[in-house]
Amino acid sequence: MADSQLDELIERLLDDELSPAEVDELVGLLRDHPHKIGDLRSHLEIADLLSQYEDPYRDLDRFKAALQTRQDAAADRDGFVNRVVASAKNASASDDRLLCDTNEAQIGMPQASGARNSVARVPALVAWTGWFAAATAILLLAGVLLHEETTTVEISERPNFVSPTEADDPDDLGVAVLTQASQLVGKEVADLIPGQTIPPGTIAWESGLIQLEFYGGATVVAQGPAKLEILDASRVVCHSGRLRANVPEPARGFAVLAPTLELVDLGTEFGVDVSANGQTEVHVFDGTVEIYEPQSNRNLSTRRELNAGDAVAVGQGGERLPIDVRNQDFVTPGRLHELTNARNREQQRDWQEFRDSLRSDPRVVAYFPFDRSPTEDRTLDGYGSDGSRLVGAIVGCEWSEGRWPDKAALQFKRPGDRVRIQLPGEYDSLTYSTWLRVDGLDRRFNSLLLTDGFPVNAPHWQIRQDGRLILGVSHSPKASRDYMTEPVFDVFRLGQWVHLATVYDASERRIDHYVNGELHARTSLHEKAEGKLRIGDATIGNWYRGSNRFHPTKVRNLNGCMDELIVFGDVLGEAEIQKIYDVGKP
Amino acid sequence: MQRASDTDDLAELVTNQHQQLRSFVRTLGVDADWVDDVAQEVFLVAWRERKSFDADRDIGKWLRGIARNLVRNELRKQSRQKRLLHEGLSELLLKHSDAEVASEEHFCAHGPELRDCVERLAPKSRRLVAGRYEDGWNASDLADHLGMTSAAVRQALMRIRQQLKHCIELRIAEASQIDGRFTT
Repeated sequence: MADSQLDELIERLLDDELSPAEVDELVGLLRDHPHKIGDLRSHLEIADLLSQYEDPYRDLDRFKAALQTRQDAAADRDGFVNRVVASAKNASASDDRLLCDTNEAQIGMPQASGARNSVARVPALVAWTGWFAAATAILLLAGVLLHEETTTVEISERPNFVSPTEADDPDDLGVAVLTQASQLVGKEVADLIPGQTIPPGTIAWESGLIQLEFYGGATVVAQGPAKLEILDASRVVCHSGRLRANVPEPARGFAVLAPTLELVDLGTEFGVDVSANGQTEVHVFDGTVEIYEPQSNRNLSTRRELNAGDAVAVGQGGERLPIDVRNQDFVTPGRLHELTNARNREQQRDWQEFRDSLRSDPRVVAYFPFDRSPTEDRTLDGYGSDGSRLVGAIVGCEWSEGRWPDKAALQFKRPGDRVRIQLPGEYDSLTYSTWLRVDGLDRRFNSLLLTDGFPVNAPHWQIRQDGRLILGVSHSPKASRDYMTEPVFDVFRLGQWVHLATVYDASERRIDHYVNGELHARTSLHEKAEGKLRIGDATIGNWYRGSNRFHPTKVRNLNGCMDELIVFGDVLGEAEIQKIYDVGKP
Repeated sequence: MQRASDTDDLAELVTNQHQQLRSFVRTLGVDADWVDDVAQEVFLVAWRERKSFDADRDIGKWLRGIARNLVRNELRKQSRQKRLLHEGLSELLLKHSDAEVASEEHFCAHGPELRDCVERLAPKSRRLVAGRYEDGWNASDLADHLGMTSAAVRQALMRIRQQLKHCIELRIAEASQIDGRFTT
């Protein structure tokens, strides 16, 4: 009886799960059964060897580096300046264990000195000679100066130490960036979002304005109805529509092709207006441009130079008529900016109405509009069911600009940045919705909203490093499942506001993922899926695995900004998700 | 340069001895979180006292002696006891270790043997070891994850550790026979 109790206590000691009182009990039993002490020591020994072998925190280099630091500190303390340290890094090592965000391989610890002799010889310890008569104060010191608390430094899931090679770099197929858009109407332009990279190709739209900044350096504001064919980083065909181009010196040579002419810019600002019948007007506001006959391969005999204040209309037959310059008709980037701001304010008002309407939506479990509180900078205000107040505790994150100039968002950057929340209740189904700007997918898993640990029926909503949106659910101790989309984030989506929504639908037994209001993936629930979902203690933009004295939680911090998070305790359909997207679109 | 070779010596001493010394420190009831801290202190003391070390002696044994003394000191100092799991437990383990010195029972763990033995475990055992010692999950975490009971996980880990001990001992014995160095 006592034996089995003793065995169990030993097992639990090795699991680091014994309370002090239980250790007392264990010690008492061991006194009566001394033959067990050797067994216990063997287990402790193997346990430590395994931990050394498995735990990246305990690798030899790190151990040596820490030892070196203490050695150096002792030497410093003795005023022994003349010590031998292979690397200057060690000399200044203060062992402030900060995590260098970009290189998880080095946890801000000094590197062990360069003397890392991998060829093991029998140590000729007789030959030890005075290096420094330093360490006399070591033990005394150990209590004072060297007793580094074991800080928990986070390291990533399995950091990828492979330096990217050419082959891994994604190809940039773009030639321009869409930087502004206002009131766009047209099937093809519905999905255009400012910040988007534009590849060569044709864009046609019915009305509204876009601003393109070409990789070559030219900025073009074009007004619909228009049809533009982008050829490369410094050439565009204007089939119809009105555009204004600003071409600074480095972008010189930017060319606009039109049905009746080819225009080459010599460093300037000009407008081109192509009417539906093919007639083309060129207005030069500043600097100089050249025009040639179309398809003449810039034949010099057809060349004509236009200077600031000149304007010309070129008919279908190629006849050129001087006309008056109309600067006002061509929208400048600054004017477009004003228009966009006005539109943004309208959009933001619509969104605020929607925000306020959600207070009375009984399905809301948690709604965080990410409005910055004027008084409490470190709390994230939100509403729970029936409009009750919910707060999140902000850790580390800084406030920044959200979807609109006057809208706040929280920025998640550092491994520690997070918002702690508690969401009560149990739900058959859940719908998650967020507005997000992802700036990078740095981790194997990048958290959106993760429950503590990963217990049964407490979902994990996150983005995988390859750009897939995932809802991970542990359905039973034996079955957990990641429900995911195809990759929805690639480098070209970074830095843009995106709406993501995921629905766990218990009645239809499926998981739906939406990106920008559109259904992206629909998968059936695992057969083992049953019971009510819980969120409870959870973290936005990061993960807390639970208290474990030996290992920090794996880093899953988000790199980006969040500007709205809603959790519904129910299923939202396609139309509703679409509406949340439409009303919240920047 | 004379001094650089000293650095080499210390680095080499650590390279050769750290594995055994750290695991030994753990067997004296030092809290897992503090094992490396105490082990570093042992090396520092050894370095300081290196002149008093007689090269004919077994250096591993000498280091273990220093470790025992440090833990004994720890027991005497209230303020430092946080590095020990439990005073009474460390006393028992120290006493056991002192007796062991007389019979010189300590087996030496070497990197390659441990690695071979761990990597040859059955997949499920290997998973348990990784979960427990790399991810730092305890038995109840692992139990949730693998659909076992916590008790079953703890017992499995006990069995795995025993198995590894035998495996390592066997390999060390084989290696020493191949080398023609018969151990008693």
